[in-house]
Parts: sequence; structure tokens; C-alpha cells
Amino acid sequence: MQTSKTKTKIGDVVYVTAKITNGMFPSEKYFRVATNPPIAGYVTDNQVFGNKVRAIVAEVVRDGLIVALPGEASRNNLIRVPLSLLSQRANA
Amino acid sequence: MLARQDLLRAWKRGEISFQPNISPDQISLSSIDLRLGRIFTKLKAHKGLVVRPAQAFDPSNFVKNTTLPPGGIFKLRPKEFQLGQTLERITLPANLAAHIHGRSSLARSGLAVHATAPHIHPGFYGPITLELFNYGEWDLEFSAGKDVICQLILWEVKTPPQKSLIKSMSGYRGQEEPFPKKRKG
Repeated sequence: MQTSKTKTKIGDVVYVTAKITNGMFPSEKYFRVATNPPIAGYVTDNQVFGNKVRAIVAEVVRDGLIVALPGEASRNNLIRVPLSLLSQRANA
Repeated sequence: MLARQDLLRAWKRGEISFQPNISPDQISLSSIDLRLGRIFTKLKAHKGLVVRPAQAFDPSNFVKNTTLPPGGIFKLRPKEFQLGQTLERITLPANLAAHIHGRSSLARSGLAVHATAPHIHPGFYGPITLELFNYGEWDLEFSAGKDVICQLILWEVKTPPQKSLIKSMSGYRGQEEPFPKKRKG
């Protein structure tokens, strides 16, 4: 199910499409989200669902959402993500 | 910065949480002592290898992981670098940031626990990665899963975010753990 801005509120869990590879520790994954500039980081593997990483909505903005990413992100854990990269279900 | 009473209150209210849980003895005057975990990662040497860590890369072929049993001895030789983790997985809400720092008693023997990356953003969930380096001249040994190795310092962010965001960040992220968080108070 794709995320719709109007139905989304602060605090909701959403899933961000990302490129997922192995992390440095056996219990973690590395993710890279194709925003501009891209953001990447390491998360525990229970925050990753297929090609999506779990995030929490921190702000709703005009062209998407600002979400808080879990784990250790290389730039910042709050990023603006376009709606096209977001869904409200891990398997959507 | 949160002092002892603030830290105790935040912990008892479940605003910050730890898995496994900490004991009150780990809460000191203005920080929380955390223990060394049991998983360690060594960066393997490869002749001619160049990586671009700021780009997407899969490091799994270039590292060697070791998991020690509880109480197993982790040794860090002089000028050696390894990654480790805190035993505790921490959960921070949206209104608290943190810094991880070493302890002076260990630093005197040459131990550094982070390589210029002490900051932990609000909403962080997981074990804290330690960039362990031995600046000294002696082999250093630690008991994995037992020894206190670093301290967590918590900071309140200046403008409080919405309550729903604080609630989500202090609670949601631990939900899929095999062992649910125990909340006190």
C-alpha cells in the first residue's frame, strides 16, 4: 500500500525503499536511499524488510514526508523522502 | 545534559530503554555506563584495496566477525583497530540525543572507543557501534558481555518535537524484538 500524504500523521511507521546490502556485523544491514543527495547507514536487520527500511514520520511536507531513519545514518537520520519511495506496509 | 536524577526518571518512565536492561548502578552522576558486547569486527587487510565508504559498498567480504561467549576475552593489541558494540541495545525518543564516550580509567591504558563519531541522533535504536583502538603499548583485555567500557551522555533537544513522535520513537522500534522491553515505574 503506497503512502498518501493526507492519511499520514506524525509518529506513523512507514517503509522507505532502499538498496539493501550486508552490514559490517552479522546482525545488521547497510541501506542506501536514492534521495538527492543519497543517504546511507547501518541498521539492525530487524528494521529491514526486503528492499525497505522502517522509518517514522517526523514531518509532513508539500512534496513528501520527512522521516526519521533508524540506526546509524551517515549524514543525518531525518531525511525528506518523496512519496514515491514510501509505503505504509513492508511488503507493499 | 541529563544528570543522574533526570536519567533515572527517563529510564523508569521508559523514555529511554536498554536491552538487556541496565541496573541502577550503571547510572552515574551525569552518564550511563554501558557494557562491551560480544560481536567484534576486524577489517581485513587486502593489498591494493581501495574502498569508497561514502558510496554504496558491501563490506561483508572485507571484514571478519568474531562472536565471543559471555565472559570470553577480547584482546586489543597496541595500534590495533576493531569494531565492537555495546551489549545494550538502546532506544532513544525524539527529544533526546546522546554522545558515547570512553571512560578515563580505560583511556589511561590507551583505549579509545570511538573514532570521531560519538553523536547519536534522537530516535536511534540498536546497539552502539564502538570503533575500538588501542593507542597504548600494552595488550588490552576485556571480558565480552561483562566489562563496562563506555558511557552514554544524554542531551535534551531544545525544541520538543510533537508528543506522537516522541512516543513512536521511544516505543515502536523495540516492538519486533524477540524479548519485549521491560518498563519500570
